Amino acid sequence: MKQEIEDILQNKFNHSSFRTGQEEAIQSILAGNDSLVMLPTGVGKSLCYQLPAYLLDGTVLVVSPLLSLMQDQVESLKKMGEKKVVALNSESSFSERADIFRKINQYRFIYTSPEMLQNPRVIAALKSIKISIFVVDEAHCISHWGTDFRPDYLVLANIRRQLGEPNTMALTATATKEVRDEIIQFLSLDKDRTHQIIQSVDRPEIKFVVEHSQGDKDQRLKNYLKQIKGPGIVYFMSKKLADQWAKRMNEVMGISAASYHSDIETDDKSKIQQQFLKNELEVICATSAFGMGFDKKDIRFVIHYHLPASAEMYLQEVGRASRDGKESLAILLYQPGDEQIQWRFIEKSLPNQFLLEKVSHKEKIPLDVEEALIKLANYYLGISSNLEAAGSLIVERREMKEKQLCFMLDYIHTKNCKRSKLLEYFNEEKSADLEVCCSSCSFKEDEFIERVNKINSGRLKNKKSVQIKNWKVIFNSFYNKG
Amino acid sequence: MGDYFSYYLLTYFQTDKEVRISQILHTLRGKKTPSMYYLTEVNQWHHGFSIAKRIEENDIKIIVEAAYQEKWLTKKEKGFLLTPLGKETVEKYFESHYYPEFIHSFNNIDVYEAFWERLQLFSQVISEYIYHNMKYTVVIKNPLHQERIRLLFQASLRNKANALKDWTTEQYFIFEKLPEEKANLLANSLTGHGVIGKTRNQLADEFEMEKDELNFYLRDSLAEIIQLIQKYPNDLVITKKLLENTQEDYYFSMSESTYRTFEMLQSGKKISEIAHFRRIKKNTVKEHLLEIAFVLDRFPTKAFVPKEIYGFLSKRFQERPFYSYREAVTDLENLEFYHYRLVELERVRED
Repeated sequence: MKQEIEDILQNKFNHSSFRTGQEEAIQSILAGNDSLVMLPTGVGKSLCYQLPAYLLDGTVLVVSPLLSLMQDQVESLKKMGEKKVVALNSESSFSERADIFRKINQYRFIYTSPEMLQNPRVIAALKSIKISIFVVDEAHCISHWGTDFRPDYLVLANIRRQLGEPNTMALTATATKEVRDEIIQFLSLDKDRTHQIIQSVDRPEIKFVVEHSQGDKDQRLKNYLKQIKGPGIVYFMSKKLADQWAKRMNEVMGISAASYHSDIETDDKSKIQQQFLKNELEVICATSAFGMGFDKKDIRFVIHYHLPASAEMYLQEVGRASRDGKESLAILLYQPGDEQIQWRFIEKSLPNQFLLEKVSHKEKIPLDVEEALIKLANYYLGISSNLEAAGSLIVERREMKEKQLCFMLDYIHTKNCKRSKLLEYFNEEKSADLEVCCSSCSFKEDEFIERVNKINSGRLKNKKSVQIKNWKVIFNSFYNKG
Repeated sequence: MGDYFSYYLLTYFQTDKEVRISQILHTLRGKKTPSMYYLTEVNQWHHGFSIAKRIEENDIKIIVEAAYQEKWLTKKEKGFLLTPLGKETVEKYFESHYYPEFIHSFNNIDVYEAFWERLQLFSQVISEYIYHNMKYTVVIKNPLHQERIRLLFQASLRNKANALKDWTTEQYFIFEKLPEEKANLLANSLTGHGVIGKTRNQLADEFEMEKDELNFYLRDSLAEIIQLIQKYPNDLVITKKLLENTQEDYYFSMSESTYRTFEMLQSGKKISEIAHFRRIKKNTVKEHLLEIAFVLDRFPTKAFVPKEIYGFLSKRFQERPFYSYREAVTDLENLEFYHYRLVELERVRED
């Protein structure tokens, strides 16, 4: 079996060895265990269920929270040569779904969303096949403690039951013990029999820096951008700022950059990702919309212009760096008062009393209320005996979010090791002292930046050509007309 | 009040007729009701219909307020009027900026975006195929688009020798007929072997436009391509197929329910039969009928309006161009609204 596993790893996935935690997760699922797998960002969690698929009969059903993530995964598998993969989601047309149901027993991988699994036709179709692994990707979405709680995930336990409780693998990258416990609980997994493969969230190759500014944040960002060679990501909470900085980088700073957020058209998002992968872009100015499922190996810095909402989100976003295992910088720019943006966001991200009442009394809801908020309102009303109880739960959730934000403020202000502080959130300790660790631990920034810059110095930059070519020149190239 | 979109919004206002913020809001959001279809048709606002589905009322209010402060608009009882100064300002602005000129119907209103994505995808697939490259990342992730292109590609390749040549010939044909700037914009957006297309922001920078202006420019370019397909169907067989598939998938820009009614009407079913079969109200079917009439370029009004009513209304509209439904109901007891609207629409289009 071990040899078979290694052969598939080599021949199908083009890897010579496993990364920490992957082999254990694969062995666990092959042994028929339910598993909770927490591997750090960038380790390659997908392999944990994709490889076993080639050794098991049946179909791997993967539940994913994001359409784009699903599409990226399907694309990656297809690029590998896998044809028996499909995404079943809200974008699938009626006829496409009918087609998928007809051929359902032919798929090795089916990616779907929790919403789709609530469709009786979908369940009926899935019941007719053997599901080798029931995968819950981004499993932290099931937990109230997590920052990305999605009520739709709570149906998954029931779905599992309906599908005959297939072997289950819950995957996450950043989850505290409370979140992990809730994952197991809300998926109705047996805690004593669920194999937990938990790796440290630490990424020793990423060095943490907090930069305190006093009204000169922009200048500090400019300084860093001049100093550190990309590729890199700069995260903003505001789409407008992301656009402005991308423009500034292109027009004034000579840095090839693009902004990426929810207002960017889908085809453009794809082009930006591709350009970034091919080193035609050096910097992405992004909101949190960027990064999930995106894998560029040589990102050398991640700068946060605004304070992230939680340690989970922060680690997830900085975790996009150093996928090649080489060193990089995670810089958080802080200015007193930055936390106000997050406080306001916390307020807006939860249903208020007005909305709760409207939903509870089934009254017409104003058009400008986001659907996600209505869903949350319905969820809290659904699990509460009355309006007041629902209100209390929301207050609790608000307090939890505020606590997570306070932790980030502690992180910013602590004079002790930043890495240790972050790990503390996950009940972990630093495993060993690092030669270079963080801005609190005798960090010689300029020296380190020079070191980081040398890593990618041989990198081939294909700076995006800004010239508009004549259409004939383009077509002659596309269609090989010389 | 200096960006393209603000000036574009100003073009919705008129010097002689009040326009309300809500009317603009619903147009931009693409609210598919008979009254919004009518309003858009009469004002020729098709180019803005459904272009900003998530725009908030407040976004428009801010622009309107700023224009009001500049004395480009005056407040009236329910809406705003464009002042002579406002008219002059807008006209001057669009002397050096692009104003949409190719979209005058609802005909493909829901199709442009999807058609463009499929055009991009098919171009990429063909290009990579020519270079025998099977390992590439597709630029369009939408699974429905991918499935459609896969089927079209396979169907095209049944006659392999000619298929690639046909597609490339068609693309050269189209781009030769477009104004060079539009052809260059579209081509530089495309992804092919060894080349990733430019994004809208990148193109906007290169063409020295704002992104909103570029979006209208792009949309108009696609409308122009669609017109070319309609004009030269025998020269653009594959592209025409690509367009037709997209139109079908998006219900010919009707709502899905309306499309179901449309299919049944096409098969000869009457309103009452459709209502009965679909278990919906007759009034709903009549509303569908109105939507169909607005969306299609040509509609057989006489087939749906009794001869004597059609004759009466046509005559009245000739005598009194602003003959209202209220007046009509006084003249013709029990006049159905949809009869009135169908005849009125026909007249508006003739004008």
